[in-house]
Amino acid sequence: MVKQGIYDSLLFGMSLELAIRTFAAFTGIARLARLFLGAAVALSTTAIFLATPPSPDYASFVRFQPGITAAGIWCLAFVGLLIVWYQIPVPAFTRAIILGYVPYLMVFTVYTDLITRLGWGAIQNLNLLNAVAYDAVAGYWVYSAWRKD
Amino acid sequence: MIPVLLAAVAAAVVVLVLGRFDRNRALRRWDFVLSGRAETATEALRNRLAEDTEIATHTYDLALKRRASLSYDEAVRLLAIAADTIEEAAEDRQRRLRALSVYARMAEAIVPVAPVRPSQFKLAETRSLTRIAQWLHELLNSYQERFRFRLTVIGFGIRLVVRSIRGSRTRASIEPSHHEPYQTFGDSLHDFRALDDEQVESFRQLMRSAAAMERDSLPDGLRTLGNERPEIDPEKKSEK
Repeated sequence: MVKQGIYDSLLFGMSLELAIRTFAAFTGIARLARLFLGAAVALSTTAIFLATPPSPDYASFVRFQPGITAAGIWCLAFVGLLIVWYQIPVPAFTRAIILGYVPYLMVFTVYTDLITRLGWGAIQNLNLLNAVAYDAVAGYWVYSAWRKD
Repeated sequence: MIPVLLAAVAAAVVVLVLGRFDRNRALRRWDFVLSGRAETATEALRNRLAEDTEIATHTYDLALKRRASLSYDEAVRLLAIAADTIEEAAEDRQRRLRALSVYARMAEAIVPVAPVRPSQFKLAETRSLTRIAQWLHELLNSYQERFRFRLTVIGFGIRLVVRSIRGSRTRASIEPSHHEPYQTFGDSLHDFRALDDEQVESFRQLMRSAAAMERDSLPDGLRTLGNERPEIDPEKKSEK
């Protein structure tokens, strides 16, 4: 549970870092991005604090994880949409991070949702699905890093 | 189920929108915005827009002469040619307005722009549109919103003018001896020219904003852009 909590925090941190790196030079946009992402992080954190039971277990994990991941996906999607809206010529790898990670996180959301529905008995097959999706994204990132801008 | 749907929507939007994003095209647009030779670029745009309307005005004048000499078939045919020219030009204007709207997002600050003046128009519909727009203009908060609203009003005005031109052409073909369709056609041409002037003014303001942009604060890749001669229509080149 602690490990997953750290992963989730890193997901939001990643959105913030991408936004800061991308929009820092554009003061008008930076203000908007900071405002939205700050509000998203504050709301998500409040929701997690309120919804998490006093002694969380694996059942709580699969219950809340899809919502947390969806919030993280929207933060990343927001950064991606701002890039297109303001025509920011970001490096190809920054684009690849968002373009690869968001679809993977969608697979991860489906994965945790299926665990809730099918039970832990299906974890072997679902783990395989998750691992294949993650490897595909990692492969895409390697390919993007290899290519010249 | 709701988080899964939300995640799926976000993933689809990102893949579709960011997946189609072309970095080189964005760089070309930045190059255009940062080139900042406002007067030269504005004059070139003014001349380019004037070419279309001059052709249509000349054809319209010929149509009036044919009508005066009672050659109605020829007058209606010339009117149709003028209408086709304007319809074609209107598509070009709409594309240019969309491009201006993209550049407006990129410009860090937009200089204050005045609303489109209603008094310069002859058609009742364009005058009404610009009167309402003049009132709404004051309600908008930022200069950027006002600038983009101005572009929307011009675009809508062009649609109204094209509709009026189509209507007067149809009426002229039904009753070629009547004066009204020719008069409305002339008024529509006048309004089209006025909207062109407003578009050129928007472009000039955008160029002024780009020139005022603080270049030192931009990332390395953008700081060196804009040192070459500006292209008046980079959209055309990239979208063809």
